[in-house]
Amino acid sequence: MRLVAWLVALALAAPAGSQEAAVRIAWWTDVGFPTPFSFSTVGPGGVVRLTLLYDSLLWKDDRGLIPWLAESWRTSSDGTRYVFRLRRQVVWHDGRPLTARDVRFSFAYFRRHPFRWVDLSVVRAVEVQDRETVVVELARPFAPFLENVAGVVPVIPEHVWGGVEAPERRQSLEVAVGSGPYRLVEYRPELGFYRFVAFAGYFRGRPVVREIQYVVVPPARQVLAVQTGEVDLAMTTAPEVVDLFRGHPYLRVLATEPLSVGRLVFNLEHPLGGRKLFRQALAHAVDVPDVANWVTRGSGIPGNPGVVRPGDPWYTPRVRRYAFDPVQARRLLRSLGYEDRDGDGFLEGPDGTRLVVEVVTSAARETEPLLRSLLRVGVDARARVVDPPTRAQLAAEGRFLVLYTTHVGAGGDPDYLRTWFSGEEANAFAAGTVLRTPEFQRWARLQAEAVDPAQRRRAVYQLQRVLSEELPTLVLFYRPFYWVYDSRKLRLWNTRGGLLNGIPLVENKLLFLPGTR
Amino acid sequence: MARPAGAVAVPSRRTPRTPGPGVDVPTAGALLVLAALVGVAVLAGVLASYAPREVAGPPLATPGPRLPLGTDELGRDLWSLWIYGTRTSLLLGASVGLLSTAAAAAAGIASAGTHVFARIVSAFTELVAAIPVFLLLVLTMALTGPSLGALVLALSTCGWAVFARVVRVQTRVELQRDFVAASQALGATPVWVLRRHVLPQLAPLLWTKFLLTVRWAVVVEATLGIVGLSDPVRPSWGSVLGSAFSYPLLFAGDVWLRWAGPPALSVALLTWSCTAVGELAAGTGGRRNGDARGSAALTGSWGAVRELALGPSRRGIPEGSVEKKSAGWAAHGRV
Amino acid sequence: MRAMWGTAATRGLLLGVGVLVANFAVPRLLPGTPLTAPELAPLPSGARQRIQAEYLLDRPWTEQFAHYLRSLARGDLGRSLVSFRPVTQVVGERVPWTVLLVLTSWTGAVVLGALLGTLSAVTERGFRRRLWLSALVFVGSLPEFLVASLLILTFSVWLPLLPASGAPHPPYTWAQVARHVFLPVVTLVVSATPTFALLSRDLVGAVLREPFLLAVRAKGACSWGVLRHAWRCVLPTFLTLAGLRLAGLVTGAAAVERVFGYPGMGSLLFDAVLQRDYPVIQGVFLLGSLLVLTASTLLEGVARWLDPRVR
Repeated sequence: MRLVAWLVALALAAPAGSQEAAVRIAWWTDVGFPTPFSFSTVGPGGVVRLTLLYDSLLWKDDRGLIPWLAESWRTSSDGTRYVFRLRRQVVWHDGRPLTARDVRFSFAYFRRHPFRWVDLSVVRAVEVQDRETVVVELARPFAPFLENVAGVVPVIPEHVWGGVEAPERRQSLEVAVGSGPYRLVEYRPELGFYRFVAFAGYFRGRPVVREIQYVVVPPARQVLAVQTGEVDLAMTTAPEVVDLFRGHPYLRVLATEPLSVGRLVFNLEHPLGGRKLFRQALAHAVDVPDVANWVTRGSGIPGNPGVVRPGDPWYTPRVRRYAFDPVQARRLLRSLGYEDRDGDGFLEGPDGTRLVVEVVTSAARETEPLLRSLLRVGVDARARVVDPPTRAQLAAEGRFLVLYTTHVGAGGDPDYLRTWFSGEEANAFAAGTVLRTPEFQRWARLQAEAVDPAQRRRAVYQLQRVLSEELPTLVLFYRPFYWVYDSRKLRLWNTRGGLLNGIPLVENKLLFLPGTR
Repeated sequence: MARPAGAVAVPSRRTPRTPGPGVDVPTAGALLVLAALVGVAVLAGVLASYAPREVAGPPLATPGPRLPLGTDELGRDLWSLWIYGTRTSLLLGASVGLLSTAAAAAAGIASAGTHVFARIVSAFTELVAAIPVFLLLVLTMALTGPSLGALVLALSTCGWAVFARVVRVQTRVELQRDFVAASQALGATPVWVLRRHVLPQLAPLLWTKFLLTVRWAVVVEATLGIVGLSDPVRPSWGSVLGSAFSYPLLFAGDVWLRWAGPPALSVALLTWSCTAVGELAAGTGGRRNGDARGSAALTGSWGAVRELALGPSRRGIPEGSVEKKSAGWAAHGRV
Repeated sequence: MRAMWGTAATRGLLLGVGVLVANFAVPRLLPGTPLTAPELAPLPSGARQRIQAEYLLDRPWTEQFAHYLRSLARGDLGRSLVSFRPVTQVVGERVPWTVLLVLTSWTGAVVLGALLGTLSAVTERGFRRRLWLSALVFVGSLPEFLVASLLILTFSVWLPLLPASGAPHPPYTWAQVARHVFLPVVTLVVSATPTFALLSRDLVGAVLREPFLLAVRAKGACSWGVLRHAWRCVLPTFLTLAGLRLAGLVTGAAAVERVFGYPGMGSLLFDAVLQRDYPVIQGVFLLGSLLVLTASTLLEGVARWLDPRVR
């Protein structure tokens, strides 16, 4: 009996002290060593964690872009020259001061050893004017520069990385030197365990939260982990969690903006996929609001053919719409030569072979409603379930007709409308096949290079219209992420447009700093 | 060291094993359960209210009219999913069992004859044993996609080799018997010898092998379902369990009972009934020296392994060497 | 004797070669590699070229295999294609966790199994015993995920005593680690005990019926003494056979590790397969087999040492 009591006591004895001072966050996997060269790109967890260690020139709060390392900046009238004035008194974790030289070094170094979340090909040169002034020259005007480049590129110390040839192999605490609010104190790769400790010398003041820990919890048990108090913050896509915690004394749920998107990608090089009429036929054949409702169980918004989410500041309603219209779908397919020739309910081609549409996916269950929808029109739709590496292989080799993918990034600066279809997208899940129609390329280029905001807005609207016509992708839904958290330890809010470029994660470093809401 | 049980007749210490089928209450219960499960599988169309992938109501609905268990996150009737899942899982189990047992029997008997074949089989066995089955299955699924057919083939491939060795040993034991030599002297063909003498003695072993393979295949399928590698087209116990366990709020309410409960319970019931009926199968037609058979039934090839470990002293068979033990033991836990 | 060693050695060698070839070939048969699949791990061009050069991934298989063998001879297991860290490090940091899990579970199952089996061998036969035996076997043949889920339900949801995830995190106090490791260990023990129980039951039961032990009992030795005698005879075989089960536990615990999120070699292998991280897949197989070989050799040595026949 004594033994039992002792065992129970042992079991109940939580590690004292450390739990109170630290905020513990659950994530589903290890995200690699947190430097810009060895972080994991499977998912957005890695790049967001970097932002605790490193700073960028600009940052975002719940209202938009704010100055960060750069306390002010000027743009030339032709949009190719940016002059940043850096904040004084910024120091690296090892005490050395951060200067304009480090900024120049960062850009130059990332040209040779690319940072996987940003495309720096547009940067022509970076000059140091004086200790606190950096001049960035672009090869051509680039409208997303401030949000997508200056707001994302982490500034790295020249005295650590200068002369290093294989940076992805340097994975020790000595090289994890940044200027951010936290220092990396411990990392256990096999456990996916990270321990960040507040950096007292941070230019915005010492962070209020002394320590942040990341632990790996299997996704199906993250909510459970918050309930039992093992972690203080976890994420889920299940909307039922809102009702579950309604009225809870201290656990709350925050819904992000619906920045996660589920869509069909068409292979534009495929003989059938390359036909615009076919894509439009499928758009009429899929009951998009129904599919959205089933997959997201009411938490999402139906997809928009113009790709931009309704509610987004860049959204325009003036795009081509595709109502769920099986009759129209069959008409379009008939014009391509597919009709039900033998009365079996399925459409056949001119030679009598059935029209089979194989949807390549890694998430079989999410495609169920979609397949149902297509079957009702007479398209023999099947799911080809493969694991992610195989799916990537098929996508890279163009061996598919339709592919189903879900990813984050449908928000923030609208340049993603260009990168998704030009082969330049950094978020690999978001990449699609290249759309070569001249009209698309023209507007894509125009919006990226527009200097005048009104001009850019017009171009973005036109781009949406073109995309809704061409339909290189059929967006099915946008959905939010739900963050469950202990409100006694954290006060959460949403970064406008998502962290970095449309990431619906909530670990904005402002959360942990003094003087913010 | 211990001498083989058969060599020392100590009747007083042994449970008197009835020669006929010893059906007592638990075994009868197991037979009923097995029959019920098979019945459900056969009558799936009648018992289920909805087609396998049909949407029956709103997602995650609580039990209501026509929805005795509620719905899953895609709105499909959990009761129908379980019914059809029973059919798929039992079909899978039976196919794997049949293929595996047949292959083991054929290979075992064939290798009883020639040394070369025996070497090949044993080499194959050890190679397969060196790679963990579960991971091999994951690799196969990645290669071919999670289709039921591929899974059946993969599972059959993994399961037969080890038991073939057991069959071989047993066949050789039988072939050594005096009356076999006598009948061969009288002009009996090998096939006749096989049919009359070998197969009847092998039958209990094969039956238990079949039942235990069914059990194993169903469990493996369920485990693969948990990690998301089940066939999406046909619902099975594994796919229902997989979808349940990937729902993040499974343990938050009582939904786990309705969703994961039935398939989990079925897997457990099938496991139990296969084991018990296997014991029964071994009991019937067993030889007088039935203790080894009894154990064989209880744990399948493990019993035969025990026999090997203790070293059968039948004429001509060498003492159980470590290599034999290793082969048998490598098999255990799988079949 | 020499002949036996000779054939064993050749067989071992052939097996080793077979495993090496399979080890090399199987990952490459899978569609998708980290390099050809930009979606999976978009590599910056410099890193890509470095990896391409180091692994000769664009060269024919024969060259790759030769290179693989050469590096193996040097003890260089390469670098992970996903995390860029040396494979020895990636696998090595999982070894202590795997050892902890496997050793604890195996020992627990062995001890418990031996106890239960001996108990069963000496107690009354009959209906109660058969029922108990059936229950034991039934529990042992339950799928591990089922046992794991039931345990999670009981100890993490209904009685929130233990953490839901198996991955311990610093500070590594004994209590902390124990709390995280408890459930995975119990799951494996539950699955493995019945086997050992039946094994010991049969072994001990058979030994107890031996004439010489009957003689010992006739001479009036107490039951403890008899059992001690029995176990001295049985221990070598029992350990050898139990040790063979050890092999299965090292990577066979993968499913349990996955359910709990436990940082063992099984889940590493699983993740590596999912990411097509060839060097890690090969490394796990190799180091895993090495581990198992060491353990079983040690065990066999102990068994032989204990075996009164050999003395």
